[in-house]
Amino acid sequence: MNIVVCVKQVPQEIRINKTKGTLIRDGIKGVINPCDKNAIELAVTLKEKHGGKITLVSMGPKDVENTLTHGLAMGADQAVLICDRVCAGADTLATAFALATVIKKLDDVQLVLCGKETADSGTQHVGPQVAHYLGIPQVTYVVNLLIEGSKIRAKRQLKDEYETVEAGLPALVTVVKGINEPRMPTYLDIYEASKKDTHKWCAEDLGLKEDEVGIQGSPTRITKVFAPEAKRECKMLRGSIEDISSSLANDLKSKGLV
Amino acid sequence: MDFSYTKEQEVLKNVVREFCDKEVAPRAAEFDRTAEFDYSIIEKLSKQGLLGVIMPKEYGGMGGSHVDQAIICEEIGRDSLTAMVATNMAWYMAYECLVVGTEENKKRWIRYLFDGKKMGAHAGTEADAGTDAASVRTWAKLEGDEWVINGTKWFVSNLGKADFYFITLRTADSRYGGISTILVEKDTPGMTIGRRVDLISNRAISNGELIFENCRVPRENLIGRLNKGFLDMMVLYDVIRLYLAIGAVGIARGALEESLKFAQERRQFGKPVGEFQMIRAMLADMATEIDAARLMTYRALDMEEKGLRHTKETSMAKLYASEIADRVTYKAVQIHGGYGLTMEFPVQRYWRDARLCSIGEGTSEIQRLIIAAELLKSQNIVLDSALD
Amino acid sequence: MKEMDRYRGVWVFAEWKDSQVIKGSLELLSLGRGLADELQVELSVLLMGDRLGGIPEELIYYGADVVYVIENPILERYTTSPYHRILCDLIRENKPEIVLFSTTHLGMDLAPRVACELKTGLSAHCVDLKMDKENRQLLQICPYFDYMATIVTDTRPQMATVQPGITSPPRRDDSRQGKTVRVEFKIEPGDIKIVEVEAKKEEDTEKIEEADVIVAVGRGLKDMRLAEELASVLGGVLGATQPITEAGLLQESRMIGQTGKIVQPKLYIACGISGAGQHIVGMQNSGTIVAINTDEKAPIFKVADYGIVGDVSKVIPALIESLKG
Repeated sequence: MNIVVCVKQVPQEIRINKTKGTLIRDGIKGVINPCDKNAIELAVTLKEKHGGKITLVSMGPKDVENTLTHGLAMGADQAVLICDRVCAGADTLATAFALATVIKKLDDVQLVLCGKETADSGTQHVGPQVAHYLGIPQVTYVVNLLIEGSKIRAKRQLKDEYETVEAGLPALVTVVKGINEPRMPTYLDIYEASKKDTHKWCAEDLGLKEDEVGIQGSPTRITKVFAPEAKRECKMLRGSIEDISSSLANDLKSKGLV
Repeated sequence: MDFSYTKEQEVLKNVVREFCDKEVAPRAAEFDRTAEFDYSIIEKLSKQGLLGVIMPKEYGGMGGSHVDQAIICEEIGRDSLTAMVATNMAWYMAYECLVVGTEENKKRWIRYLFDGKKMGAHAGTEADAGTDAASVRTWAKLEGDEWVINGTKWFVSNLGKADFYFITLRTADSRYGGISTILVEKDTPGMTIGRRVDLISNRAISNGELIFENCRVPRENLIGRLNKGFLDMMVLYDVIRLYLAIGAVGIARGALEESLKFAQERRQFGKPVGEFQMIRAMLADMATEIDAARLMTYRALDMEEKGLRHTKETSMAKLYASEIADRVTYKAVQIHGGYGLTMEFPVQRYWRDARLCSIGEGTSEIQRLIIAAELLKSQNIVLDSALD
Repeated sequence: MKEMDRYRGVWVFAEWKDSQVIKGSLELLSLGRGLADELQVELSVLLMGDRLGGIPEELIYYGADVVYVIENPILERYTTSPYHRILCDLIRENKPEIVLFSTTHLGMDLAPRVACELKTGLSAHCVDLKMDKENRQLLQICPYFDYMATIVTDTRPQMATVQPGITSPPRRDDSRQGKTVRVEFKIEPGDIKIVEVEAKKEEDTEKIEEADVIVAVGRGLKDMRLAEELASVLGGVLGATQPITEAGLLQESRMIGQTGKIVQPKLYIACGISGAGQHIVGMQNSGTIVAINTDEKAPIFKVADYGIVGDVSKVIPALIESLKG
């Protein structure tokens, strides 16, 4: 059973260019999106039980290769990186299209795993959208997953309840953080990983047209980034810590909040 | 010449960071406050295959490069120099055995010492023998098949925590030509712990006095060649000093990173303090010095990898790294202002811990003497006499 | 006529539970009503399920002009494909210019897949919606780290998932008139079969959203015990930002914000929280907000009633003293 895990590289720390309002990626180290690590961990435990091959699929600049090596060190078998300038600036729809195009090219993929959301944009869109492009069912917010023959049995973590569902394979599953504790690769894992293949494909290799990917393939765009406006009149308390505390305590008491 | 990390090293750095974020960073202040290190970190590090990666595979290591080892040390040192020193103590002695030990030593001891659990300690210093390491007065005399040890060691790191101690002691009357190293396991009758010392720097590394009164250990506990211990120690220092140097780089980096964060958050006169030129100058100098120290350390480690002699390069790296760690952590406290003096911000701890670097494993003064001797090709007061 | 101009009308996807429309969907009716009035179009609500009883009428009382009702036993509980199929077909047929969902597990499962089939844009976690009337373009305002971003969609319909709690439900008016359109679909059971549903046990879910007082902890506070003590003095509970729960310092069930809980306690004390957009959406509707932070310009002060610039680990003990005294 072959498994694909969609992986995104996210900046280790969030910094904003305060004049342009864009996310600064230059000079900030990229790491695997935390939730995607849970997806990789799940893939590896499933492989240990059911066999098969795990392929990581990602889109981004060349340095995403290091991030993918981390995933390979966790136990994936190979990685594919869609690396092309024309893919830059993609929104979730264009991203999902490119990822799905790669997955269609891989042999006999039975299960596609994604993290529930990314730490940088956090839209939660890509999983369901990849599933749609592949024409397979999606099971989101999964906290436990079993493979039973040609079916999966997944426990979904919803607001007040857990819902257990069955779906036929192939299927796409998005996982929540609580599903497992991702393994940390060992030193030897890291060196083994660097021997595994990371294929870099450009848009042309995948037959992707310029208007299907990147900014052109993205129906949404950000037109403005701005600081949130003050919603309340904030009373700044000044003076010694003792004065501040007692005046605040008095105010809270007089409002009946204490 | 390649100044960039390999793909593996990039990942290694991320993985060690992940490890430290989870296991070291959240505990670092507590180690300092309680003066207790949590030795379970060593087992965890070992389980990840990250303990003593430079040890050869046949001895349970990874056969990794010195730069890989340095990457690990720098990351740990970034959060806690104490943790770096303590975790290194779990492989240093095995490494010493590998570098200076006889074939019998290696067979008998390395696997036993380097098991991912046992902690070592080195006892060299005495009340009257510090920088002048050759004037030790602790004696070991051979009686039958046993060494009988008498004397008192001082400033023994890992005191009471180590499973075994490497004791630098006198086995013959010659000043340089009568020094040897003998291994004593904990709980050996005749070895007791004396006065403990309360430190301001790296407080969680237990330290103090180790007393020997007719302490008997088997003859096979002699590590390296008899009476050549001083020379062996110098050879070993060429490498070991570099790991303190990279620890200094780590701690300085920690101080810089905290300062960058603070300078962007803290506002005075209506803007972040990081927008003031004098703070910026400090930040720029800090970053530049850290980078230079790291490159110097890597250069010496690379020479070791290539089998080249690098006594001068090691001393330069150790000297520079430990002194910039002192400057950088000082500036970090300065940038933090009043907050820098509170226990709530880590920079005070970095500042105190960094102070060890220019004193431990050969003071800055000794490093300068070594560098000058190498430059002048003159009599090296320490080394050459040892070669007599 | 441009293709885009064929799309008219505002749609809201309504969710219900225990025969009641959920609060998040009622809030969408508030927003949708405003947009529809501004554009001078109808506000339609989409309602799917089984045994829906009086819910369609309720939706009219809350402001809907048209309620599309699709009732079928297969739709009793949500699964992706039948809901997705019906929604896509209805949108294709009726061409609304705006379709709104609430940011719920259902909404976040359904909306991206529908947007994908329709090849249109979808924004996530919107905290405000405005109309650029000149271009008839929906300005979708989302948290963007410490900032806000305006997102627009060049295709139609314009789809958005909206954060619950950003507005109030509309006033119920049972004299309102509207149209209920029952749509018949040949519905196939989906490719996903629900086999079990179990309520979360108490211990899994800290119900911080029901607390009157929340002491919330951010990265600026190193010592959790201080916050605990303050919470106990105030008879409140602890909340946290994402970095705190991710570091394992507090359980995930205490996370407040976009990916965590949306809370509206009477008193919210933000301790060492800078106020990233993702956090603010989770607490900005609290009664009284007190913010303690070292950085005077931290965005948290923009949503606070009381601000204290200072070291939270010093302020809390003093505050505890004053509260006890």
